[in-house]
Amino acid sequence: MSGQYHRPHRWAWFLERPGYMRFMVRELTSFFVGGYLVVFLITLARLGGGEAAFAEWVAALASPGWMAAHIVALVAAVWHAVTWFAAVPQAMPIYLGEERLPAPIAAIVMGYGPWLTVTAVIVWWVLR
Amino acid sequence: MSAGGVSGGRGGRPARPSGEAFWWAVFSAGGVMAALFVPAFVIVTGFLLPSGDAAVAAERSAQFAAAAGWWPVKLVLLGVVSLSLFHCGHRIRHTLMDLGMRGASGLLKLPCYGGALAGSVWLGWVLWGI
Repeated sequence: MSGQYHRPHRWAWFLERPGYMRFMVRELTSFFVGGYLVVFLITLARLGGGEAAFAEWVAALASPGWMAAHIVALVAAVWHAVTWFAAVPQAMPIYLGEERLPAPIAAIVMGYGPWLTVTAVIVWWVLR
Repeated sequence: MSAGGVSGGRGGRPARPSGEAFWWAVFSAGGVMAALFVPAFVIVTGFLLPSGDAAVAAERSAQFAAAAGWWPVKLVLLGVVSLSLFHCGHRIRHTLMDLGMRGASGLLKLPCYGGALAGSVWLGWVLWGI
């Protein structure tokens, strides 16, 4: 036996099954979340540049192009969160004695609950 | 208990530490951080700050600046954003490998993890100056 056998597959293998497609969409959220994080870094850097520089940057972010980009980023970030919280009960099952906490409850306790709390606190902080 | 229970030693392959376990741990931590925080960050910087008239934008910008200037928030931002960057770097690397770049898996570490490291260092420097 020599080496490893790699089954030939076409580049767009993820188009072959809906499950593969969902997997690829989930993985591709990382490109958009990563792109947004770069914009977030620039925003914080502008904040360090003083009030005028920051106001100029915020005004630029009001353009339709940036709005569209942020809608895409928000959809990607939310989809990342939803798929992540779906995976958490499988990766880290919680046991109460002998009973395994049902997956939907685990997703709420370890995912959606903290998520809504963090989001509410951050939004309240800026709007208050 | 399996006999070949050494990390990376499954499937009859030699147990050779590749560093992948470390990156998967960082990936998991960053995945949690990105899920919990990034949607709120997008709502704030993408929609709440640039919306409304100049007076509203100035008021919200002042709140944002005050929050980002408080040292506990700086520490949270540094932790959350750097872990999220490494999460994205790892996931982007593995997605590119799945799309046919498996031969370049080692080479991809440089832009993916190096970029996340550079972003984290830059953020630390930026937060230091706010």
